[in-house]
Amino acid sequence: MKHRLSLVLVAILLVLSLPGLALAASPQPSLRPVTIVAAAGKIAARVSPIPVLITTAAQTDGHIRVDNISTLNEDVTVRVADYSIDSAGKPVAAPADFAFGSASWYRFATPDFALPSGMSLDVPFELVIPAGVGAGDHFAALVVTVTAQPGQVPAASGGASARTQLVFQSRLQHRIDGARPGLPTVGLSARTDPGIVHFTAQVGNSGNTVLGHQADPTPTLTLYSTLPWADSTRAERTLEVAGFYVAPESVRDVAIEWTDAPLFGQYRAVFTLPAADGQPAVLAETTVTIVNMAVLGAAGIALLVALLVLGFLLKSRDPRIRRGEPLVVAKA
Amino acid sequence: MRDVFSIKRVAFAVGASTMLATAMIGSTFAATDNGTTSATVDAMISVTAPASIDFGNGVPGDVLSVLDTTVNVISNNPAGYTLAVQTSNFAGAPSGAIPATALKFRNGVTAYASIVALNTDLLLATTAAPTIAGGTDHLIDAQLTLPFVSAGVYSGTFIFTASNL
Repeated sequence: MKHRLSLVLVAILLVLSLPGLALAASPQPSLRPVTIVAAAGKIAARVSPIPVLITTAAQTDGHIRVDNISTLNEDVTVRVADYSIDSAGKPVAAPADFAFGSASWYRFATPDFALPSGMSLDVPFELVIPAGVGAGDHFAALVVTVTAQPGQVPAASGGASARTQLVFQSRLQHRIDGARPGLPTVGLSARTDPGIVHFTAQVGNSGNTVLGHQADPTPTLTLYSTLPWADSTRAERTLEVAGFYVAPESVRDVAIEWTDAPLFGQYRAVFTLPAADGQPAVLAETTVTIVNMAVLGAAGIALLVALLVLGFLLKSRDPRIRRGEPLVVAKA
Repeated sequence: MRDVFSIKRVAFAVGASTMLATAMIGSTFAATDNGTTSATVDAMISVTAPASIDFGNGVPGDVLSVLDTTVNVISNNPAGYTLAVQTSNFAGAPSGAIPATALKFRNGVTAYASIVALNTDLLLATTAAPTIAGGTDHLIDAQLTLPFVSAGVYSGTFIFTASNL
């Protein structure tokens, strides 16, 4: 009877400890079933978690989880590539001399694997930051490529067809101690087209961290009329500039368009990069003269026509010329 | 009588153990303190697209279209995502090739835009916010202008790239 009691108690303890066992499971890759939500004939995958900013740590372990939510068996590759960021924060191919790459810091245990339909895999990675790496922000991009396995998609019977491949990209960013905020230098230029003025702000980031203006305070372009009769201290128009990023030690052209510009005018344009990320506000300004040549030409022609008509009318009213009377030329 | 007593003891022991365990679990969940509770939700992105896209048959000079190819994107990234496409050249069998630049794409009712070069992204959509739970359906139209090439079967690859911002 004691044995029975012991068995019951052991069973209860085993049941109670199951959640703990699950939490302590090995991080080794293991296929797991997931719910299938995609229709037949479609390629689909889900990638998570996606780290964007990993702050300073000499060594970090982590994982990327890939779920095959398709009804097709898929081949998956996981890579980290040297990328920079574009003005929207999206990974873009890094220039050849880009000194802030971090792709080589990652090691994936299983970078290439097959993922049967409805299964998921945690792909462990190890991030080792090399000793002596330069301070500041370093970039890379996680790139997960998903393709249907050969034989999963019927071969084209004729004509032209394309097989589909899915790529998931996400920015990876590391900040190494000794970060030096950018001291942006800004230039401003303008070009006019009928009804529109194109401004280009050149924002130069001389620091070793990314310069990000994505939220409040928003960069602005303010226009002051400089015509003699206008109040040159009153802002006539303020344009909000969409947020942007500037990679370390690089220059970004930020396009700003004034789409409801007047036909004529003379303005002082002031671009304001507000204080952010510990950097002071920076201003740049330029002057722009708007002359709509098409309107000017039409006005000139209209004026010419008006003068001709006026001349004709004045001439026809000249009392020295009477209609119906023969023109008498005095003889000497 | 002895067995009955034993059964009672076992039943009592099991009952007591169960109650004790229940009380322990209950105390775990019912415990109160003044600490804060937090949960971390990871960023995820999911894309679903047809595994293949068939333009059908045509002769050189024809413009073949595939309309309303649904590419579904689910993203909980607060900053949003972009969706782009790039294509390979279409390799012909038994010979020949259709260049990637013969293709145009559009998202919804926007104007068609050409693939400007091989392995170069053409931006289809950009958002500055997460999608709804079921994701966003992007209805992609693809257009292929057939150049003068040898008769045969041509196949290529469309690469849809979703980037978290």
